[in-house]
Amino acid sequence: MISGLTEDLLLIILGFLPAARDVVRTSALSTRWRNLWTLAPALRFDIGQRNLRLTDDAEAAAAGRLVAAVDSVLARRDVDAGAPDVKDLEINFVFRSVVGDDQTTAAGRYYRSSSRFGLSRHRRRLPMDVAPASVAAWLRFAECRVAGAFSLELPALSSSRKVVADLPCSERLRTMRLTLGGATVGVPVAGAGADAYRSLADLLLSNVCLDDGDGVRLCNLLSSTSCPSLRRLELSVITGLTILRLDAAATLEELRLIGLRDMEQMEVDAPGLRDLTVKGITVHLMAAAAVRIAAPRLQALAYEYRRSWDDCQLMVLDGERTAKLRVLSHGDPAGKHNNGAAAWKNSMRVLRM
Amino acid sequence: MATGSGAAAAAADAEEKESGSRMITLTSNEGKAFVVTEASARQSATIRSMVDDGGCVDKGFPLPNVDSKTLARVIQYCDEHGNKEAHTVDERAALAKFDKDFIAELDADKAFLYDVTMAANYLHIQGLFALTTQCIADTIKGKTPEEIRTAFGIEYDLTAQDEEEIKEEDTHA
Repeated sequence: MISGLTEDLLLIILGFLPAARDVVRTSALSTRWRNLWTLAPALRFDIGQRNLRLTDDAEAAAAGRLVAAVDSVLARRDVDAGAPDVKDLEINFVFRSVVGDDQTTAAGRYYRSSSRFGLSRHRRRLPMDVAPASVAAWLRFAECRVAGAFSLELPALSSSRKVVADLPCSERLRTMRLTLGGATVGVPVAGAGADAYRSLADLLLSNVCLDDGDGVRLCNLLSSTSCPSLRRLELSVITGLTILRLDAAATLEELRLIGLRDMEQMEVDAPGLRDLTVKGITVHLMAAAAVRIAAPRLQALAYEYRRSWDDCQLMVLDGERTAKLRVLSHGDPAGKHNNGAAAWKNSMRVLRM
Repeated sequence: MATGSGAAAAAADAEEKESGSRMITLTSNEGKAFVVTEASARQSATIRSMVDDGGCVDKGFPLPNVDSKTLARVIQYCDEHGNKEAHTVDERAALAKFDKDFIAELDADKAFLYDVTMAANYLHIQGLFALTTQCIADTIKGKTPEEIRTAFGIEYDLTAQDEEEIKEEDTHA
């Protein structure tokens, strides 16, 4: 009998369920199962695949139902103060495309869905009724009740310059992947000497807006004192981030900086960095001193080049001589359109590798 | 440095081969003895650590929590994964097919599936444990409570008050 299985085993099984709906539904099985789900280690909410036959209204309704489900389940989990923390909370409102494709990164999925249908079309399709209050509540839940991994993926929200919430800041988060549909988030101040993100090893922050001053606070928060265990960091499509001054922990191995359009100055000190990707950063604003990346252990650099060679800028990069260098022009590593890359290489007079 | 670690790796390899050829006796709670290769027995982290800690391999290992029928089935899995190579694409495909057939057969006999799951948990056989728990989770996935109760033989014992609460919760979620 399944009831012969120990509670630990049943909880592991609940952890395998792909949808929180299935987890919660087990509460209607029997007395033994009634409150078991409130101990479940993982809760995953997913809007699923895009059904092309659905009308916009039906899609919006599906999203609305999912918002209600997340709100209700998290509220019930939160009320019970004695309940254990959630180890893995995943909330995804970005439809997966029907064609099976690269699902390796949340950001990749996001780009794909927004480029295939066009970002504006995407926005029109889903006037995304995820209320800022809901997003704020989920971020707070992650801060207080998630010990492990938290992932929240939102499609483009109807534009709002109002700060939705502060980034969740917790010593117990190990992985945080946030794709926030252009929402404006606040960044908490890193307390003096406090390692706010003591366990954080993997961070994706994508599609967010920052207000004045929050960029600096973000850099402080991600630097080695408050984020001593960081291994992978991806900052992509962040508006309002003008200066990136990152004094990274020696643990940082992989850094991806993508689509940071407001970037004016970059100073990265990453003693353990092995893999660096820089894409879609408008370099023409950058003066010689504006980019300095110290990465003595760098092994691979991917740099996507978009501008004509007139705009080529100097970039100081201290890395190993053996480092593998890939320069992409128009995203094409080998094609005939890659002549810009050669120009870039020639003009990078201060590249020391 | 490189040659040093290479030699150490070769020595470890040789030791692995030698120890892999030893036979180990596992005894079920009914006293029935099963003789398996060490490579097969090492699929179990529990037994692996007992062997590595210098446990008395010759005396064998009594398993008071596992009955003969369950142990025989568990060993079938361990033999397949411990004794066979899985380097080439073909070998891996053969192993995947074995897993698929193995779990399909267990799935048809739910009570036995739970026994094997508990044994895999007790013996810390990671691959087998993942296979069986995933299978149980798949049975829950996308089903109504009524369907799950039927599939697992769960007795309905909820009170009227529970039912009322569940109805209330359903309107929210």
